Amino acid sequence: MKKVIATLLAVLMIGSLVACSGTPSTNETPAPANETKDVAVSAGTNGEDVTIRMWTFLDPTNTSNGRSIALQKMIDRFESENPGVKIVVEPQQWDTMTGKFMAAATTGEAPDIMWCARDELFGVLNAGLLEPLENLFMGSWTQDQIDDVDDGFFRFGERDGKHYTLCLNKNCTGFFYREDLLEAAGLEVPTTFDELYNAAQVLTREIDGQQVYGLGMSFSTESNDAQAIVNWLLQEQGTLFNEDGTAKWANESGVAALEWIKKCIDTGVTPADSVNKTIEDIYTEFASGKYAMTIASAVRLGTSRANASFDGSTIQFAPLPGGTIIDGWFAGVYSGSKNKELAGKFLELMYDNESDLLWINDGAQAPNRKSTVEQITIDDSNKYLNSMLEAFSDGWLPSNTQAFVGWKLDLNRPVQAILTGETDYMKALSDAETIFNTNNNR
Amino acid sequence: MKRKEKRTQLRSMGYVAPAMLVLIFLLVIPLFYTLYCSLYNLDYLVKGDFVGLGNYLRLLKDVRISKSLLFTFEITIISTLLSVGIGLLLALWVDREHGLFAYLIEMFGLIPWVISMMVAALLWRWLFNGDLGLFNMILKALGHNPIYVVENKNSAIIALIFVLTWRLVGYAMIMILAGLKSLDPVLLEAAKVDGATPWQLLWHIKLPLIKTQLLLSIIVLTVSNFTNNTVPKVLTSGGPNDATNVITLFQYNLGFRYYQFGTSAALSILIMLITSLIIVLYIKVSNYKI
Repeated sequence: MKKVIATLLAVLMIGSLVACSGTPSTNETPAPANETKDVAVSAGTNGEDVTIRMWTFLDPTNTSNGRSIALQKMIDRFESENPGVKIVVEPQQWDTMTGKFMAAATTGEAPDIMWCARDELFGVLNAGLLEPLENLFMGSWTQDQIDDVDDGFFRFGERDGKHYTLCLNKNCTGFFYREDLLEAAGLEVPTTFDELYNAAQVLTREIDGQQVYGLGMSFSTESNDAQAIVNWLLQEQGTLFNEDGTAKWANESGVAALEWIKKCIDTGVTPADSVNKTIEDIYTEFASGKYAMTIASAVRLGTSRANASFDGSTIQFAPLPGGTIIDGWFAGVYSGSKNKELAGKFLELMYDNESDLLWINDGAQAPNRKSTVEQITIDDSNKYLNSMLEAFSDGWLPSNTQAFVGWKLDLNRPVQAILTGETDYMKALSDAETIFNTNNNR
Repeated sequence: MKRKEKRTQLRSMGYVAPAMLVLIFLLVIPLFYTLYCSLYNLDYLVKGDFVGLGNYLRLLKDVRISKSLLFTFEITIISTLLSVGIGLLLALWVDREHGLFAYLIEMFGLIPWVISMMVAALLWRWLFNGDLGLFNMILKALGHNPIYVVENKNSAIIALIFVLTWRLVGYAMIMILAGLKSLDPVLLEAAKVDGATPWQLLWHIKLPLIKTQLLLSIIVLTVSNFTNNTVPKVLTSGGPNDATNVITLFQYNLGFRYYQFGTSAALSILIMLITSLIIVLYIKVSNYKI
């Protein structure tokens, strides 16, 4: 009896294993660059479905997020134009997905399309994980087409004369403000750090029984956007790094930044618990009405408007004084992908004029193409676009020829140090420099 | 006869082989691969120069590593002792109860262990939130000033220990309770007839007889706390100012923030050696025979 049961179990196990391994294989051979369309058609007509995997932080099934809605529309368009090709988005945690991509590439599990974070692009390119777009579709672009997208973001994805990425969701750090509260207080949008502090002071008060703080900032060293200290440093010295790539923080500019932040905390315009808050905490709290203004990334405007517990349309965006860090998601095609052509085709679609309008209208994003700028009307509801475009033209990007990882978070270390009792500002900055330099092999 | 024995031996090996293969693929090969990686410069997962023990030497010289290791030892010891201590008390109490009440206690005790660590840590992070959290709402309702739990160095450490303890106390309780339930009632009755007090019963009979369960709980809880990355990452983010930066968070950041996978692999090996050492030490100290 035991033998019979054991045999049955063994058969069942083998059957399960066979059933689980029965997934049909994806398209094996990529086509030459100039035959992209034919491949897409044949992929469908041959009855062999092709799946293109993409890693991004957006989840197209999320119908409450404007960017996700825009992405789903692009997927629908691509799939209807390319029968038999399916785009599968595997949503990832934004702050860890680039590292995960590098790890996945070592085991051949990397997706066909990857959205890379700015500071990690150096490592991704060094490891040769992305395919030059010239090999896929850019080789056939006219000069006019290139001029239409040529800017700092586009050049950031370039190495040795080849382009590896297109920048989606162009971003810059600045601050969100509630226009209704500023107007009620008779305040103009601040343009200097003094004005920002003064406005924050006026706006710090109780509204309908809820304590509202003037300015939200987050100083966690785990998950964050660039905070005020970065803008202070840019304002004073134009860069964050020396020519050799070492940090340039332990100086009078850094001390002035720390003093300004400490003043915000000490006078209560920024709550003391910001010391260990992540940027996600701040976005959630801002949406709950805790802050009148908050340091934020422009790309989060649409989501913040949708999630606000107050009238979300009153949220506007302005660049921070001093200088603006520009950022974005650098999307490219995995060099080990078996479906590079189709992946490139979808990447190109996400960047075309029609998609650009979707990113803007549904996702509250800034235009990717110069030609799109001319097609949009900027009024009171979307005047944040002006601020974003202005920031992009003056903004600052680190070089992509050296590793610059962790600086945003490392720059929060001295802030945490002084807010938890370390009184020597210069030492706190110097310690942060050492950590950054060591971890970037300098 | 010999041939039969050999055949039996071969058949036994055949039965064990699938499990051994799984272990080799999932544990042994990755372990040796990690060891191999730790000897190279592997920034951004691009294989660089062979550095020998260079990555290890760099780690051993780093003051932040030794500080982080010391802190990890401290919170591991405290939270393990608290979990096992409270778990033992609860188990002794539940052992005396019967019916639905005892069942409910066992079930509720296990909830922190079975729910996702990420969810649990996030839950506590929001409960401890400065202005919007339930903890401070209660304090305010009672007329007290709010406490910024995860934003203050000392309270962040206490909060971390509290959540680690909360997560594991149910597990310890169930393990110990299983030991208590398996005790021969005749032994306890005999001791009572001989005039043993409840304290003597516990100290001289129950505890020695549940030594295996206690030891296993301590080993599992120690390793679980020592290598716990999720709770510190989500609850306190290692801050403020590195106050709760446990060694596994340090290792994670070396790999996935700074992309120094060689150094990160070296730290993984060191952590593995330390945890192995702790287990051997426990077994030696308690004279436990495997």
